[in-house]
Amino acid sequence: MKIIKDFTKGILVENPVLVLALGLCPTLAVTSSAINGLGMGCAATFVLVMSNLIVSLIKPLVPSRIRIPIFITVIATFVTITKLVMAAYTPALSEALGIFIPLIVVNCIILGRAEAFASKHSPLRSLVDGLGMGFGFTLTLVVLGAFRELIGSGTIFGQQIMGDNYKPALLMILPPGAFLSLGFMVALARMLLEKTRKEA
Amino acid sequence: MGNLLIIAISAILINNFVLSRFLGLCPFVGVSKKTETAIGMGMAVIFVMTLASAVTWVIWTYFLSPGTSNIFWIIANKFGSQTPAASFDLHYLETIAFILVIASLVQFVELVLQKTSPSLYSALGIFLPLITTNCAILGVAELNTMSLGYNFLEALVHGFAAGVGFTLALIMMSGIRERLQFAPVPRLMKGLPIAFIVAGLMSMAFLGFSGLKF
Amino acid sequence: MKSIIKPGITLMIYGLIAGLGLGYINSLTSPVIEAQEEVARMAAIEEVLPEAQVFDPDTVDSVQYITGYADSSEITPVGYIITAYGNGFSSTIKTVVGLNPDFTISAIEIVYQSETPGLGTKSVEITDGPEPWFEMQFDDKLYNNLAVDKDGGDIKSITGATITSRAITNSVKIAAKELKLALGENNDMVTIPGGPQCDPNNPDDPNCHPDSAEVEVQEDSLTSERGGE
Repeated sequence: MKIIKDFTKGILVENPVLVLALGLCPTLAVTSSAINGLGMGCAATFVLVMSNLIVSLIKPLVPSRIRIPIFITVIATFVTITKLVMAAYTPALSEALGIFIPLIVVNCIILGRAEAFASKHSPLRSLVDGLGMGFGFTLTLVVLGAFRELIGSGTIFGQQIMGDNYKPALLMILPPGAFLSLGFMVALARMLLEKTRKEA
Repeated sequence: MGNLLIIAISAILINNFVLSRFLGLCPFVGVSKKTETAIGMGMAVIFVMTLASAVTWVIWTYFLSPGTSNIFWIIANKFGSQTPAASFDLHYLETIAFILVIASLVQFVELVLQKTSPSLYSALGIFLPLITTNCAILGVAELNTMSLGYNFLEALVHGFAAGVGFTLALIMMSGIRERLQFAPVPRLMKGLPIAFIVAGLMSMAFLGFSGLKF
Repeated sequence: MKSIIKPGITLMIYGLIAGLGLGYINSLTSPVIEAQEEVARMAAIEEVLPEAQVFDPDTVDSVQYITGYADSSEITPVGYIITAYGNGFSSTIKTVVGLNPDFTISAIEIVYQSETPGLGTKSVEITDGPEPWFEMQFDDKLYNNLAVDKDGGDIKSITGATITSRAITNSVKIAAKELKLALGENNDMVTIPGGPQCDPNNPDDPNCHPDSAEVEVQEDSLTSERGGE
């Protein structure tokens, strides 16, 4: 079933962050807490799904020479919609994610999928591809965010997990902690990939 | 003058765009395998960032933001009654406008490089058009206009210095990675993971610049 | 030339459709955003100057402020309210400041900030007490003694968020100073910068000197947002 594969490949085999090394800027910047990772993941997934869908629908109307600027225009439109809607209806999350919301437009995952997949496949498959990649992206952000938040602040999703005697390792929510955590997560993903391949 | 120097030193060392603000990571990880490519990419990015800062500032101040410098407001005012200063608030078009400006600038740089330095052009390959998706460029444009409200000179200096900081981090990273190829790295960590660990250590080192005074 | 015109026009058409679509969405969301900001502003005004029931906005020398009165018959104000803007790490921080008539701070409330999550955002984090600990530090302090600990003052900065802390502190000080100058009351005695604290009520205090018209603020922004302790 091609469709199911289109969705599940985004989780591990073609995980946009851990395997394809795309979308790194928001991954490191917003994962100081799990809830921010979740928020960014959902916002990016919305933009990814909508732009994949629209790009796939308008592909007969797009002259090849200017396809990249047109894709960018489509993506930027949905990013702006996301920015305005978030500012109006989820202001706290909008303030927390800051400039990284408009930066979704240069998230290489979105332009990458528009060019590599959506411009060459049917709208349905493009939609599912967007959902799969977006889900993989969100999952990665939440796991990384939860890890950094737990060690760096003693909480997960704001809930105190570590006891009162726990001294949070501030480094984890600072930039070095982000880089180090991601490095180990990529290695972990590779280990999992190898295991699944051996069993196959 | 002192203020501009503070903005510059801050963007290069203390709040380095890559190691502290997390902007410009995709090319940082992708292009840093060889030092010559890194230097070429760095120069291109400095050029685009400076030019983009200037152009986006002009577009923001005179076309998009509400207020008395908005060109549309000036024209409307000339034609009659007092239009309130906030009537031409096009700030929501900022993302589209900025990213298209950046895409055009990168296209322009590509053409120039093709004519003047074909070897660098082919060495950079696919990474040259990818400068468009370098979040550092859009990031600095956003910071200059929407977040920090710099004036033109401050925006220009900030853009230039941010590019220099990016190049600095990139060249350092490529130097380390070139040597890392001959080091006994555990199999699972080879390539991307060890690059991130190195970046984390560099980021820690750069934390030492806090409290820099002169 | 023709090979540029046709694609150019196509791109413009796409741009136009996008622009119109966004204009529509903006017309739906901007009233919501503005209403939110107004609610936050009104709430902040009531928070920072709780004794005031009647508010009288005014502008003097291009300084916008609000005078608060206990009720509509009063002539003496219970305080003033101003808005301070400070350049933070990644946003312009907007703070509503309540001032007592003697220009000590009644309270401050940060109404907008988009600083680093987990660091600069601690400025609005409530740990214990009714208000964020960072904001509560400002209560009852004289405006012209305000400085972060790194600049010799007694406002404790947020760990790892020096730029944010400094931006808020200095912007409050500058905004209060501007109001004082605009209202024409400028015969203060203030602390010599970098020296021990001045007691403005003591006319013989050797640490005091007459206030100058310029705001002297330690412009030491060469500090990392992430600089440790």
